[in-house]
Amino acid sequence: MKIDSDKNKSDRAAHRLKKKAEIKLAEPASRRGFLKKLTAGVAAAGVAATQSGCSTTGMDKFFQDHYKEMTAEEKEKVFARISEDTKKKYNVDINLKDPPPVPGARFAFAISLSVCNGNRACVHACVEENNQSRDPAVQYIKVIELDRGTFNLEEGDAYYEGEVPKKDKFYLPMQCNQCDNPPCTKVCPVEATWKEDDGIVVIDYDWCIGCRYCMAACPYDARRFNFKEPELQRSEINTNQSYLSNRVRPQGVVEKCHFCLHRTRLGAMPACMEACPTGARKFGNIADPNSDVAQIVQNKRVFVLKEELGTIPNIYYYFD
Amino acid sequence: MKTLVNHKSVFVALLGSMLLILSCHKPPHTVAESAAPPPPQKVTIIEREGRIRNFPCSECHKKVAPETMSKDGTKKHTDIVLKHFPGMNKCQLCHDPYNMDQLKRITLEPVSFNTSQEICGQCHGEKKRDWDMGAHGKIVGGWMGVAQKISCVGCHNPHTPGRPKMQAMAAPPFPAGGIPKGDHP
Ligand code: HEC
Ligand code: HEC
Ligand code: HEC
Ligand code: HEC
Repeated sequence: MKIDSDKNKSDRAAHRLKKKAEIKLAEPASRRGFLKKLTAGVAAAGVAATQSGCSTTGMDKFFQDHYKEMTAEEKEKVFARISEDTKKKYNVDINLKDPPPVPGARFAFAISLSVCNGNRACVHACVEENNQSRDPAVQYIKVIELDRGTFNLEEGDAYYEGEVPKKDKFYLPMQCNQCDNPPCTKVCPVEATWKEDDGIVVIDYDWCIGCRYCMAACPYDARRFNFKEPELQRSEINTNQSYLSNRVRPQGVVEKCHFCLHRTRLGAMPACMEACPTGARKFGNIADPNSDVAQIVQNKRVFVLKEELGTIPNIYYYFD
Repeated sequence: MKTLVNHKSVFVALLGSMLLILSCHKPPHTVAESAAPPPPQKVTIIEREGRIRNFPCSECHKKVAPETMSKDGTKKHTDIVLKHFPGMNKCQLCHDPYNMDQLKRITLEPVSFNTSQEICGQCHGEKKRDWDMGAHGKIVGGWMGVAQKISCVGCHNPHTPGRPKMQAMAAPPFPAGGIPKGDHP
């Protein structure tokens, strides 16, 4: 990890903030490569059809429009279908919503690596909040243990146990960076994943064909794929769900952190941040210059992971 | 060769017509350009007085003359252990023996328990600045509108401020297909 001079740092911080402000919010989904994608989509639809199995509602799902093209009524229909499916399978009534981005908000995390002690409260809060499969265990957050004074992500240990923090170690929580220049969305052959106006990269689990190109494209190992039927107890289900975030996923789709958009778009904090007992995680609207995240990016020596790739991540790390 | 070209042109025509049908979509969840920004975060500091055991302290302390108190003051408050830094052994560095319902600066100005971060800030200036900007500590309640900031003593016992070690929660299970690159030394 290169630590740069103070001047350099403040220049870069100012530049980053400016860049954030400049990013055009209402960039519609690109039609670039539409032809290419359409042909891929035809092939992909075949795959999806064979995957959707024998569910009675499987065909509705198969003929469902792309989420971005759906009208409000069509969405209602889809939500009703999902609620019904969940009721059938788990016998719980869910509250499925679809909160839109908050106008003018751009979400970011700032994480203090001096304070994080690797206790993994965030990992488990995330699993519970987001109805992740318990077996096989799907976890969006990975905390890696590194030797102090080093910064080689490949040498980290994600499987440490026992009392933390350990001597001469520090802990680095990793999850989806919601990049402003996301490599993952570009490789999706069916446009099942895209970036929304508040910066969150979302996935339509009904549209995803499970090809996992996006997983290969992600330099942060943030995306997860569930090969088996997700296993969840009825009592474990969080009924506060949204279409693009934590509803129970079908088997064979890609999923990842979405900054708890079903919470954050209503003004709440993400589950991981709320659960953090050390205060290492800060979350907020980086477009608001008085927010803690904006203040940290401006005043602390922050860095992002793999900056050289030009992905423009939205999780800033710092030591204090 | 000829048939191939024919196929292709049919395909292109087909795609073209589909494109026409599909070309009038709007992007989802698009934010209106003119929309007002979200309400900024309004952070208040969580007050301490209601959370301190036995507050107000004067209930007792109006009957305890400062002059009669033992040097380290722990005869009555046996649960208080002062382990802040070597040599810190005087309660009166922070507490005001003449008015136990408030704290005092080293320069003797009174400080309310509700703003005890001012006491810490005397010696931990840098941490206090970080806490002021939000880089140290924690804000709860949400990122827009009303939110609350936890004060120093919400996380650090002022008498033994070091944070205890914790037990890490369960590690992720080892992947069946072996440990992926980057997950192990
Ligand atoms: C049950 C009665 C009681 C209550 C309630 C009480 N105290 Fe005390 N406190 C005492 C007594 C008695 C002493 C003297 C002990 C000694 O001489 O060692 C004392 C001593 C102290 C001292 C040591 C002072 C010195 O200069 O050595 C401090 C500081 C103190 N108390 C703070 C507090 C604070 C702050 C509260 C309110 C949260 C509080 N006390 C509530 C009875 C009480
Ligand atoms: C570094 C400054 C500092 C010193 C030194 C200090 N205190 Fe405190 N004390 C505080 C602060 C700040 C609080 C308020 C904590 C809160 O808001 O929960 C407090 C709270 C208390 C309380 C009420 C809370 C409780 O845990 O019961 C008592 C009693 C108390 N102190 C006694 C003492 C005694 C006795 C000593 C000396 C042995 C002492 N303090 C030394 C800063 C100090
Ligand atoms: C009179 C000066 C002074 C005051 C007032 C003071 N501290 Fe300290 N504090 C110190 C010193 C000196 C150390 C030891 C630093 C070191 O070991 O490097 C220390 C250490 C600490 C540590 C690290 C402890 C550890 O074991 O790692 C914490 C946390 C801390 N203080 C919190 C506080 C809080 C919270 C307050 C306010 C209630 C406070 N301090 C008030 C001087 C002070
Ligand atoms: C959300 C909880 C939280 C709040 C609020 C908080 N801290 Fe801390 N603080 C921590 C944690 C966690 C650490 C890291 C402890 C460790 O080193 O294991 C820490 C570390 C410290 C240290 C030791 C740093 C070092 O290098 O060892 C000091 C000093 C300190 N805090 C002072 C303060 C002061 C002063 C305030 C208020 C202005 C404050 N803290 C508010 C959680 C908090």
